[in-house]
Amino acid sequence: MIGVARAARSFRSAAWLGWSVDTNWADPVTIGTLLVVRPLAATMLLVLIFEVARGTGSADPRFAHLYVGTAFYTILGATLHAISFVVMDDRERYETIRVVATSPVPLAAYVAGRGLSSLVNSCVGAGVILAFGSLALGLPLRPAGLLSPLFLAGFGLGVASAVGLAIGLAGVHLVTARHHYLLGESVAGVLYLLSGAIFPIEALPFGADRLARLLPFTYWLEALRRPLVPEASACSPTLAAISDATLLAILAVSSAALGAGGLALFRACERSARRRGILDARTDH
Amino acid sequence: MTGRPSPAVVFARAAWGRAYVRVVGLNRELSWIVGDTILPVLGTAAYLLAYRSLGAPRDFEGFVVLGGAMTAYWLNVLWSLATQLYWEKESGNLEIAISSPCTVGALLAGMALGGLVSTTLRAGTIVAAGVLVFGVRFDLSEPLLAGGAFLGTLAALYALGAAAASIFLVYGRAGWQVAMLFQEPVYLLSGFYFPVSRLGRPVAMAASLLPLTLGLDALRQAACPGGRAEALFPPLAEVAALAGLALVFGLLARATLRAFETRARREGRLTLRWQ
Repeated sequence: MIGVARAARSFRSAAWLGWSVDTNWADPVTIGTLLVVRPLAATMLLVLIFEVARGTGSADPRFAHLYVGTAFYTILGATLHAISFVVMDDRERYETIRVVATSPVPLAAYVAGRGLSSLVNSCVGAGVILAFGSLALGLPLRPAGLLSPLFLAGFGLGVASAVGLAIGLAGVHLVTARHHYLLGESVAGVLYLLSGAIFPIEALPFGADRLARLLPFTYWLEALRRPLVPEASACSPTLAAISDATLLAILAVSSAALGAGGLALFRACERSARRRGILDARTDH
Repeated sequence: MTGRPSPAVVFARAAWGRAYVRVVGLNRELSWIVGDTILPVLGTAAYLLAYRSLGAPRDFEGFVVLGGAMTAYWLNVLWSLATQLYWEKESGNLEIAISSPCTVGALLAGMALGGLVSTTLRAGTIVAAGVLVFGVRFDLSEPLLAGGAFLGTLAALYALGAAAASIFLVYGRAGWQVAMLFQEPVYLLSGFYFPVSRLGRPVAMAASLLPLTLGLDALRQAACPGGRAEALFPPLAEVAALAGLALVFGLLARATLRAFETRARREGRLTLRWQ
């Protein structure tokens, strides 16, 4: 019980620290602009790809499939990068990881908390993308879907899966050199391709759709699309055939597995790093 | 007793020394090669499959592959040239470089040369994967034009990167965040994954101040079936404009590096970390 309370306190303090690091270099308007411009530009790029390829406008269910998938993928990408990169940032750049490691702070809770502000920021960015799509591009979004049990439970479980995976990747960073700083982005890149974020998984070549069916994030995006734009769900017959309850069950199991697995991997890597004396070792080129 | 080497010799030696580190670093860390080759293919493959799943004409697949290849150069300029002085400052190397007889410009030239090696590997892998794995077709009917467009783009792009690098002599995280701000918007404005003419002529013309906008458009006209039909300007005019941009950005880089170095020295920011 004391351990849980300590982890919660560490998480809260680390979240405040991460927020400060992310936002104390400029005024809120500048930071807010930056938060929105990048994901919006990435989304507009896909909107233009859609227009070039089909030119059928936002009423086409494929547009909604691509748009909503892109909006929510930004959360996954940001979470994987931000949480896993905390280790590199604090070990190599600010050189503060030794201070954290020698204090009574559970390192995994600290790492998760330190990356929380990026997760929150990416959620805001996703919200802005959806609002822009609905108001400016005519995306047929059902706002009531945001309060549906499928969306709320699916969102929470998917984010938990992403955080679990990111903590595992942060653990890998503890025992690898700076050369591998792109690990979070690399995994996010694989998931971008395989999770059906911008095209139905049936379009994947070389039988890669089988891999897609093993990824929780494929089901996560489906659970978020379905309440918001039900027509978009039909783009992927494989996923459309799965019931809401089954989607949530898959997400519940995967988030539990990724959460427990990520934490176990992090702890194993932390033990290894401490034993080998490399926890705070800078790895300049 | 030998005489002091001329500034040109010092420049060349410093540039070579900095380039050497980059190339040797690549060879020492083989995992980088995997990271530099397989990972960039993933993003390009995602856009390519998006076009394919939407039933677009196959000509656009070549546009995507060329855009993906040029992405490698844009990321190299943004993160390994424009922001490099920030990283050097953070790691404590900048003060060593500044207190040596070489100029910051020489260091940047070396970074650009060294970075070109790994970046060309990435770009080549993307094109090879596009052709061999995804069956994308190119029509290199005008190789001289393609070569001119490619070299002109790189010259203008790296000169722009050197000009942007001066900002990091003065600014810290704020400059870094601004660099982040440019990544995706430039993908959009330069038409990395779609013909830039589809942005509409006024926007596309404004975006032509970015070397990659004109460079990609010219390359697509020279190497992609359907490139001429989606062109913004005639390709020779674009190559000429790229040469002009290279000259302008080169002069701008020279002036801004001097001005910002002087300012950074005066304000004591050259050795300021974590600002």
